[in-house]
Amino acid sequence: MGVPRSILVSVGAEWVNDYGPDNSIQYSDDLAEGFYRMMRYHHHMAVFCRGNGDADGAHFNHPDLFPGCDSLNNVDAVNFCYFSGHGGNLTDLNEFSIAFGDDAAFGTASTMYWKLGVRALKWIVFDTCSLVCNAETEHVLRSWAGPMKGVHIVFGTIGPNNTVWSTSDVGSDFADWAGTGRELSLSWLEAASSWVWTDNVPIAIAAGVDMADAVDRRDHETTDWRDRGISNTNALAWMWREDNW
Amino acid sequence: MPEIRFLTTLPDMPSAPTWILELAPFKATETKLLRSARRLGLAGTLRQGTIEKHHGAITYVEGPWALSLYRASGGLRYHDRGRWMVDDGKSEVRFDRDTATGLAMEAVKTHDLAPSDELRLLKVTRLHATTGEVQSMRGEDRAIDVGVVFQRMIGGVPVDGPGGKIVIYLDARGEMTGFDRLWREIEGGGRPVQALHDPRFAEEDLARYWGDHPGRINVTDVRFGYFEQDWKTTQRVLQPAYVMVLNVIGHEGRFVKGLVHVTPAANPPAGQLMRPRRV
Repeated sequence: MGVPRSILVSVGAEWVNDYGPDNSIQYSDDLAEGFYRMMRYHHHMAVFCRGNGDADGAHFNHPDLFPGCDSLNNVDAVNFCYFSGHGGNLTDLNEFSIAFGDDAAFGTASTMYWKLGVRALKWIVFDTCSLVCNAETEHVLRSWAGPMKGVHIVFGTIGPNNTVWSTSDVGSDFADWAGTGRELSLSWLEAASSWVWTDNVPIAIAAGVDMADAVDRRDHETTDWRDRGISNTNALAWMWREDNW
Repeated sequence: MPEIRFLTTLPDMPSAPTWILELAPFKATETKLLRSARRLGLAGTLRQGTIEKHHGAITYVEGPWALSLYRASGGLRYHDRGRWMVDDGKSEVRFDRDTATGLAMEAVKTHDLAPSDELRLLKVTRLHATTGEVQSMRGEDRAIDVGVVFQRMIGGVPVDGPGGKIVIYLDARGEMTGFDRLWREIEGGGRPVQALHDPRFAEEDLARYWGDHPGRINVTDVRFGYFEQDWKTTQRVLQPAYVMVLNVIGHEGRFVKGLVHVTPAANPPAGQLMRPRRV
């Protein structure tokens, strides 16, 4: 059985493969469900795992910013969340969005409408393309400092994210390390190292009340840091592996 | 039928002879793990270290060093947990790419990871620690390690896929902090490939695989080589393949998903390489 932890975290996952007749993709379920199941194996509290028609943009948008949505009782009701599916960022807009299938009440969710971490959420993975388009300071800050309202670390990729069957274990590998007390940023970068042949560039972006706090979180945070709150996101610190020097 | 656009040209028909190569069956045991540890200069005993079990691998930990042996593939990951991908807050890589490659090659030889005539440099990566302050919009970026990636070569033909790779990690002082080695052992001489499909067969296979998907697919790269699977996959043979890197376009171009399509190039093939598409 998995290694019991002193602090257990609550876990949720959403994934989408079916984007309607012209755009289905694959392995989003393997990635998100792999994470969810492995966290549960390590004794963390499994709360929800939804795919395709049950996944919805309404679960991510904050009701104050987008009436009719309900992030507080969905992604922000758990400590650790994993999303896999379509996503993208636009450098000129500094806005990250994720997409849902045709059955969703809200087919997209965007950082314009997010207040991540105002309730329970501490860490969230967006296993999609382009969490950010590049690692430039201004672009990363403008894309993520605003939406990070208490969430500790956001994980994803820079630019395109190539998904294949041989990388569909990234979610479970990440959880196998993250769920057993290893540093979270390192765990993401190590899990994503299976991308070495697909040219994906992993990134982990940590928030802090100041620079020292953000750096400390980026380099050392584990799930045991669940209750170390962030009153304001005044700085970000990120780690990423440049693919081709 | 999907609309498939090639944003690159198909490669020429490969001319180098290729083989169907039998891979040695592998069973990961603690004995093998400890033996590998001793070869790397560790004590490699259960008095000096401990064993951890993870999904897919067993790990021996001695001091700061952790050596993981993957059950399905025999792949090895060897990391100094105190220094691998760890930032000290001030160090920065200042040596150049060629120096990094030379240092990494020395590490390959020192640890006998592969014969030097059976690999080539694939790429050099760098790990960055970056910060930004919201009010000033200013920050700092440092490259804190280098990951030099080598690709396996068999008879002059590259090995594509997650396998057939060695990654050497170097810190800012140029010292090795770890390596990843996914390099399955070949057993015997193999048998020559009777015939190779023309590269256009890969295009036809791509169209067949995506069947009735009516969307748009852009092909951005097409490569030829042997295909070696990932850490957790059991593989019995090594065979040549065409590897295509794709973008699946959706939501009126707003969202793009990268995928990789692999087609066995041998005719007849020695088994499948990709999982069937789930519809």
